Amino acid sequence: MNIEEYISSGILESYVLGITSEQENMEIEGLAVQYSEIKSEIKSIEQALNTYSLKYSATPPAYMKDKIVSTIETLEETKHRRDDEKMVNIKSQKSFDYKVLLIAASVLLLITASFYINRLSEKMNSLKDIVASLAVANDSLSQTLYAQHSKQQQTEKSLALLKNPMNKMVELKGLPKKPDSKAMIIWNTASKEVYVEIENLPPPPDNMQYQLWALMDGKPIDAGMIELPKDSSEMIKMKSIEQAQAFAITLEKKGGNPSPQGEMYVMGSI
Amino acid sequence: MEAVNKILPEDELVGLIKNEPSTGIAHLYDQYSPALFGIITKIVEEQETAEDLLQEVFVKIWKNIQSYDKSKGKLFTWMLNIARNSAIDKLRSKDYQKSDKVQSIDKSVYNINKTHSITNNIDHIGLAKFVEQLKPEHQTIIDLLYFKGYTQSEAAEELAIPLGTVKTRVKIAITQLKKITGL
Repeated sequence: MNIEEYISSGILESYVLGITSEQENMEIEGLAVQYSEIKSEIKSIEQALNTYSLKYSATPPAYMKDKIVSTIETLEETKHRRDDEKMVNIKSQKSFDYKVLLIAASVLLLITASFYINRLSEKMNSLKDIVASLAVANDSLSQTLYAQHSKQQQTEKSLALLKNPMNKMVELKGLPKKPDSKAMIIWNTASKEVYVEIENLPPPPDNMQYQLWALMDGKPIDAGMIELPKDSSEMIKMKSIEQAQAFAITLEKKGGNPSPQGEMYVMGSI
Repeated sequence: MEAVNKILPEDELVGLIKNEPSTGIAHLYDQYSPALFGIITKIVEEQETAEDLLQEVFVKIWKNIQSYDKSKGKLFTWMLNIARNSAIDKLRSKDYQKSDKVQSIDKSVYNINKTHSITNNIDHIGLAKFVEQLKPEHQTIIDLLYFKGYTQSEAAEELAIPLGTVKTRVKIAITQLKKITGL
């Protein structure tokens, strides 16, 4: 493509002014990753507009500084307190090992049961009851084990993805309009498999769905619709992608669009 | 007025906000509050709302500093965008448009020269003068698109000029600005 022509087309000015469409934004951000001339042109337009903004500089009233700094202090304190509480919760969860407790309870029941068998053979009926309750305890024990096992499998799968040296991790960061949105892409450069983990995206409206895009030479390639999982730490498998310079997520109508129409939430380059 | 803290480079400021948030925000305030408040008052005009927005913007900066990515642009650009987007969102919100405080958008756009600005303590005075070299028609087009969140077609309608002229004006305005600020 002709970079000079692209730069002189005026589209970069529109982009920095924030008046380009989501699709154009994606194209431009992809190209900026690829061509340093485009990136530096965007920077110089931004610089020009920054300077223009300074023309309107106005000192806020003096009391605003204390007000803002003390708001931040209060928010910091609340955040620390919440973090501390979280830590305590995690600790107490860890020290309470449900499995050990269940096994101990079963063992205790077994001991009690054999005691009764040996010593109180005449109380066969009550022994039967005890055996029955032992079976119930065992059932729930194996159910717990099964649940833990599948959770562990999930974790191991995620860990394996993270450990594989062929996997590239791409952090998708929130765009200025949605600064706290966040997602992570794992892209296997050998098998071309793509996984996404949603760390923070607002729940989509009923008729909408998030769609993942890979960007190559500024062109968006559909990487599939994202079915938001119940457990946010789950890695979701997406369409395989051959080549990409960046990834982005937009909000689209249910079932998706062939090219991005909706608003872009997060983006990250490789 | 309180003593102004030493001016810190952007990298140091980002680190300071991450490690010692309230000290960092205080520094940031000294360095950038006139620029941010200027943009906000330019967009919403009404003093009380502008003050609330300024606080909201600093809270957003504090909350999202982890997601600021140096490789994508300057901290100042990032903060200006937060301020501009917050103020434009406010301007467009229903409860704000309903209130009597707000004057019509058209009117406020043409008030660009009625500055309630006390040009701030950083060395912007010289630059501001250079910006004045920009023709009024070029200032107006940037103000409409950048500060009022107009689309190009809305701007064309507002100024009663063809869409093509809007596009040319944008291009010329920014080329002029780059020339002026590249001094």
